[in-house]
Formats: sequence, structure tokens, C-alpha cells
Amino acid sequence: MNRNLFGSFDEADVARALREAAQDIQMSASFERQLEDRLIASHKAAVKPARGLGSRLIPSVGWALLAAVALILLNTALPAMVPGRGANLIGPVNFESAVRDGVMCEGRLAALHGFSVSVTSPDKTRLIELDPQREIGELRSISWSPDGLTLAAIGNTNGGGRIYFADPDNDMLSVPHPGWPFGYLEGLAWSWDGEEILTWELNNNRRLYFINAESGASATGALSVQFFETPQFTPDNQAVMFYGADEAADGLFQVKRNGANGTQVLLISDLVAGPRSLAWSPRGNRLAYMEMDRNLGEARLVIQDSSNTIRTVIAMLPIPKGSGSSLPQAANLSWSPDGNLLVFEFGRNSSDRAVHLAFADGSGQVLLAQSAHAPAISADGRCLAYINGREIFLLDLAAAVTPQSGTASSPVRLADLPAGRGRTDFQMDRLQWQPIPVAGR
Amino acid sequence: MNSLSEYSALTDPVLARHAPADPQAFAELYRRHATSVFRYHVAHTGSHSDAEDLTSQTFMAALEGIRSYRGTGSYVAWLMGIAARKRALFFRGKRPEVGLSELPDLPSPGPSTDEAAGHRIQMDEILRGLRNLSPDRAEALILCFFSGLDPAEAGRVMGRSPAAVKMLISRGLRDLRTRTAFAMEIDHE
Repeated sequence: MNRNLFGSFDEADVARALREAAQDIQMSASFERQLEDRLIASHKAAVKPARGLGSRLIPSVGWALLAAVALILLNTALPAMVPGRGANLIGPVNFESAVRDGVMCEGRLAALHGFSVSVTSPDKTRLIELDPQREIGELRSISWSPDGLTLAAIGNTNGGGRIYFADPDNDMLSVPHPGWPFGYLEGLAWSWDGEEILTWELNNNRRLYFINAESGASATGALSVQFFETPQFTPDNQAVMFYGADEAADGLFQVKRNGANGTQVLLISDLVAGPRSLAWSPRGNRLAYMEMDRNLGEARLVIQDSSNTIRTVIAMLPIPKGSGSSLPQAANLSWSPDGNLLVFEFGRNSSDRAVHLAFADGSGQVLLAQSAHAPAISADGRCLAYINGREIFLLDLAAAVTPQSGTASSPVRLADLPAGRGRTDFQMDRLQWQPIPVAGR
Repeated sequence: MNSLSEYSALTDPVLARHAPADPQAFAELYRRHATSVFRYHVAHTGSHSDAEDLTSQTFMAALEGIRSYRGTGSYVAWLMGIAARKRALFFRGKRPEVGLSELPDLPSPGPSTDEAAGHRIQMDEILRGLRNLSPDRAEALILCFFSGLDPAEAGRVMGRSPAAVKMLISRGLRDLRTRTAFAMEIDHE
């Protein structure tokens, strides 16, 4: 006698039942064979007959051996012929080759410029524009999910905003939840666990939308503090941080999400004077931010532990004392994946803006590139990408930078910045490397 | 012509790279993943014949678009993305019904008549149960249990993180358990 026994089973039993059902589904042998024959016939009709794999492998192996021999000769002969320059002759070539081959700087680099979003091709020789037909009015505020599988972007069309996800396999943008239309959206940020996305509208910088990435369900958070940039989740996902202002002060704020009890506001520093000048370390145990102290005439890069008790100044740059003079800006502050380095851009305008590096232990700082902005360190920590003019460059971080020398290796040109949909201030440019999840993070 | 064993030793990305010019490379990809695609379509349509049509469409589209696969990410996730789009087109304006007569054939040697009837009832209940779930939960279960994708690959197909897919699977299994009456026979030893 049949009886309903499923209610007494746990999920493992349901899963087993599904697997067994799946195993029972088989194509008929005749259909499988006929379809294979059709596919092969269609393939042959569309292309010329190809050489077999083996006949292509042998010439490829031969060329690879020849290239290896040539490389060995260059390494041994050239340094003797050009004293003092041997290492520099070979180093940049290897770095560029390693990048193109995917050995270094793993993952794709996403670029936001001129209201358009692009990602690097797998061989990193060019940028591929997302939404090349430009069906979306403008794109802004890109962000990779923490697992690196999804690139999210804000898109606004005719005053309405949506969050788009990029499909990394076909470089197309899609709307994961059609029920997400908002007003004109400014920016987005992922939670550390990849479960939520926050966003906000241009017409209200005291209200945040928290969207469940799986279900699309959204909740609204009203803040008593204005935010002047897209807030970031704290590592425990229980609060957000941003540069903003209340009635008493402007600076770096933390606002806790206390559910039914409302929010709890904490002013971390009233010397933080601009957006994009705060960054959590990859492990979420340290917070870095840039303070602008007009009294002392210095910009200070501060690292604070997550308990907000210990502050350390690890780098300083001069700024004008007193009020009146315009302040240079520090922006796009970010950490290396191992938590040992920080990079940021610093300057007043695009021509005097430079990319700096500071060692997290306070042992030194390095000027990496002048007339450069939008620095971003790759997920493997080997490469720094930045924009100079209308081009994107890559720098071998690991090879050249030492606190003693204070010099950097020669950069490699990656690609031109795509033209974009319209002219935008350079401060809207963003570069972001695809994350590669680290076990135990 | 190289032997089939040579192709069978190659990874999917390597085969995909050669597939535009080498029909046997594409055929190897087909042999590896045809069952996954077929099971995916059966789970959604409940119809053997509809699943065959959709499987054919999926692989013909994959053949046409093989150059667009860039080697980043799983090939099977790319292929299942095509299958998902073909399935979506199929269901526009259509409400599929599952009848026992449409259920797939069982592998031979076949079970006894009573066992066969039991299997068909179970399959019928499972497919109906899946259609009672939210589309996202059903899709996650079908991709992972019928097509054999892992959560990361299923996430690529669905545009979700692996964590989100795992949550969809957990909730989907729970829903199947609580909402669906499965008629099962238990063999007592």
C-alpha cells in the first residue's frame, strides 16, 4: 500500500530521491546517435576540414622549444653585452607576457569610464564593453560580488534606475530581478557575504535600500545622517560606513542596523574630508582611512583595528595649513589581498594626481605613478592597475617596490579606455579587479 | 583522424578552443554533456519528446556560438545557460502538463511491472513537485541534481553567488518535503 512518508524524511532523503530520479532519465541511444551525426554534419558544412589535434600540437611544441631557447640565450648573452641593464631588459617583457597568459594578475579587470562599463578580454589585450548596443542610458558604480562570480552595475535610463548583473561568459548585462526598478540610482555595494546589495537614489541621501541578492526582496533603511558617497558594509554586515554629515559635523560615520531599535550612529573621525577615502582590510579586522588635518598641514593615512581602540598613522603627505586653500583629495583607497599594502590616489586635479603606496606596518611609502588615478590591486596581489590619461596601465608590484629604494618598476600599457557614452569627470573613473575567493577568509 | 581516446583526455576549455575548427572536438563536448542537457529539459518539460527537441536546439545553438565561449568559467555552465534560454523560449505562453504517458523510458533490463509503476509515480510526483516550487528554487535543484552542476556553476547560469544557490537548494528541498505528497514504497528487508 502506498503511503505518504516523505514528511518524515529529511532533506538528505529528498536530495537522494532527486538524484535517483535524475539517474532514471536517459536519452534513447538512437536519438543520441542521430543528434551527434547531425551536429558533425552541420559543423563540416560550415567550416573547412580541420587538421587533427595532433598535427597542430607538433608544430606548436616546436615553436615553444625555439622560443624557450631564445629566451635562455637572451638571459645569458644580453646582460654581458649591455652592462647594468640586463635585468631591466628582460623583466618588463616577462611581466607583460605573464599578464597576457593569465599567469599573473588573475581575473578580469572591470573599468568604469564615461558612463560605460568594460571588462578585459581573457588575454588582457583589450577591453570588452558591456551593453555595446547602449540600450541602457548610463552605467555607473560597478562592484564585483565577493566571490568574483558577478559584476553588478547601476544603470539609469530615462530617470529610472536598475541593478544589472554581468554574465562573465557572454559579457552581457541582465536584470536579475525585474521587480527592482528604482529612481535615479547613484551607487551600490555588496555585503561581505554576498547575500545583500545596498543602493541609494540621487534624490534622497538619507535612505538606503538593502536588497537580498537571491530573492530580490528589499528593505529600506532611513538614516539620520546624510551620506555623500555609497556606504560600505562593515565586515559583520551589521553596519554601514561612509563619508557624510549630520547637524554637528562631517566626517567618517558608522551607522549600525539595529532592526526594530532603529540605528546607532558613531562618528569615527571628523577629519575625513572626502569620499572613497576609507577601506576595510581583506580580513575585515582593520579599517584604513585618510584624514585631512588643516591645523598641522598634513594628510594622514590611519589604520584602526576593528574594535575602534587602536589607531596607527602609517603614512603622511603635506596639505595646506588653515582654511581658504583648496584641499587635495585622497581617493580610491584599497588594500592588497595580503593586507600588507595600501594604495590610494592623491591630488587636486587629474594632472597633479598621483598614485601612492603605503606599507601597512608603517615602514614606508612610495610614489608609484604620477598623473595617475583609479588604482586597483589585483586579487593575486601582483599587479596594480591605474589610469593615466586615456590609457590603463599595469605595474608589477611584487617585483620592484621596496621601502628603501622608493622607486617603482616600469608600467605596461594594458589598453585604451573605451570612449564611453559621455564625458565625465575623471573622479568617476573606477577600476576593479575580479576577486578570487581565498579559503578561510 | 585522431582517436576518440585522445579527445576524451582533454579538458572542456581545450576542446572548446579547438571546436570551432574541429568537429570531433565539438562531438566530444556533446558526448560529455548531452545527458545533462537532456535531463535538464525533461525536468522542466516533463516530456521526453519536448526534451529531445530542446536538446537538439541547445546543441545547435552551442555549435553556432562556440566562438563566443571565452574559456573563462565552466563550459558546462555556459552550455546550460544556452539550455536555460531555450527552455525559457519554449515556455512562453505554454503551460506544460505532465502525464504518465510522457514520462521517460526506464533503462533496461526493466523492473517488474509493479516497480515500473512505482518509479513512474515517483517521477511524476517529483516533476510536479518541482513545478510547485518558486522558479528560482526549482531551477537551482534541476541544475544541481538533474544536470550535475555544482553550486558555483549553477550560480553562473542563474547569475547568483554559490552561497545564494546553496540557499535556494536548501529551501527548495525543504519545500519539496513539506508541500508535496510523494507516494513511495519502502522495501522492507
